[in-house]
Amino acid sequence: MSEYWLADSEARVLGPVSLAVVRDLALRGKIHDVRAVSKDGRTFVPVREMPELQEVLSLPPKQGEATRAQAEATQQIRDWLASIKDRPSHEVFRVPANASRDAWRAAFFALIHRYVPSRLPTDATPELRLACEDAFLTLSERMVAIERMFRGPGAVQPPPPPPPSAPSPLPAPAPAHVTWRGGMIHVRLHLARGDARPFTADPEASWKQDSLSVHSNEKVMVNTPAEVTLSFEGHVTQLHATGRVIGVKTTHPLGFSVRLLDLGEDQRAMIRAWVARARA
Amino acid sequence: MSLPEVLIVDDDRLLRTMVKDALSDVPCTVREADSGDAALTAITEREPAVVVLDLVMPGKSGLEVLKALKPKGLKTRILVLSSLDTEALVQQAMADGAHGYLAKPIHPLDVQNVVRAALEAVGSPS
Repeated sequence: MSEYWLADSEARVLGPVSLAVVRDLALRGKIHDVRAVSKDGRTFVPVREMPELQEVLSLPPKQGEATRAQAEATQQIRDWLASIKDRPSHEVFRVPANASRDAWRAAFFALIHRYVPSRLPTDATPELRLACEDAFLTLSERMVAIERMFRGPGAVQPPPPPPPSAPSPLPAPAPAHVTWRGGMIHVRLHLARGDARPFTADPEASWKQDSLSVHSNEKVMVNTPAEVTLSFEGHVTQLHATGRVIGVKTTHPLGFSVRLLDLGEDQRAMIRAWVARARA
Repeated sequence: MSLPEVLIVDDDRLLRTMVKDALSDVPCTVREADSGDAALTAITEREPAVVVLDLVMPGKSGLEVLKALKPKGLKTRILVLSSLDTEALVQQAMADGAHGYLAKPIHPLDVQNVVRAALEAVGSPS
């Protein structure tokens, strides 16, 4: 029976494996980016020179199987999130309650590795993507609390579980801090936990259009270039983006909307997760 | 008595570091290899108690490392660590000499547990 070696774009090799194993991997969507193949592990040729492999590698992953696997993964993450809701962080991170800062950090990075949205396959279902983003944010929030605990004056107690998620009425949105730099505005906006209104209040300028509405008395004009810095309560990461003013509100409360022009996928994921959590 | 040795074989430095950190509470020493060839050299130099082995690497793959080690009849326990966890491939790896199969992504505690068990199986105190 023939055996094959497969190499990816980084020259990482899997093999020797039978055609049946390659088929199994392809059908389960486990192999991507095969650039060269070999029958002896030494001489590699382009995939097209081995039609039997090319055929197998071009098989689409079994739809039902891929979907079921993703649904199971989504459910596992949701169950895990529900199970840790009221548990103290040391149990979530599986470290001793009096663990060192380094131990907390190591456990955090090991856990977060699983849920980094950018590591998901491109065909990940929206449900799985959202579940990963939720897990990512939940762990990040816990880690922020832990870091704060270590920064506190002599505080060494493990952090309490996060506050209950019972919704509390949101205060009126605070005006954004807007300053001019030449012909450009710099908008700084701090979002309180659970407040996604800048991304959802205006359906014409919502997160779905990479946009947000800003509450401000500053007089700006449509097309004014904007630099936006968003900070999120409970997160250390800020979001920086450039954009343009796409609309100006002339009735109270005054404000304007900005379309963000250079958002990366990670930033979009962060906003999506923030909106989803605010709605939950 | 000297501590048993664990050899971590993976071309991903982050993964090696993560496994190494996970083993910080396990009484063992750790060596690292970033390719199949480096792993075979390291094992020839000194037989480790346990090898944690990635399957997809530059140069010699993890499966080739397994095949190369099988005829040597070493006491070493080999734990495969891979995201390619289809049944057929797991079966092949086990037939080629692996003693266990860990699917990525992994929790550090799981690494710790399987390495502890492997160290016990090979007769080293843990």
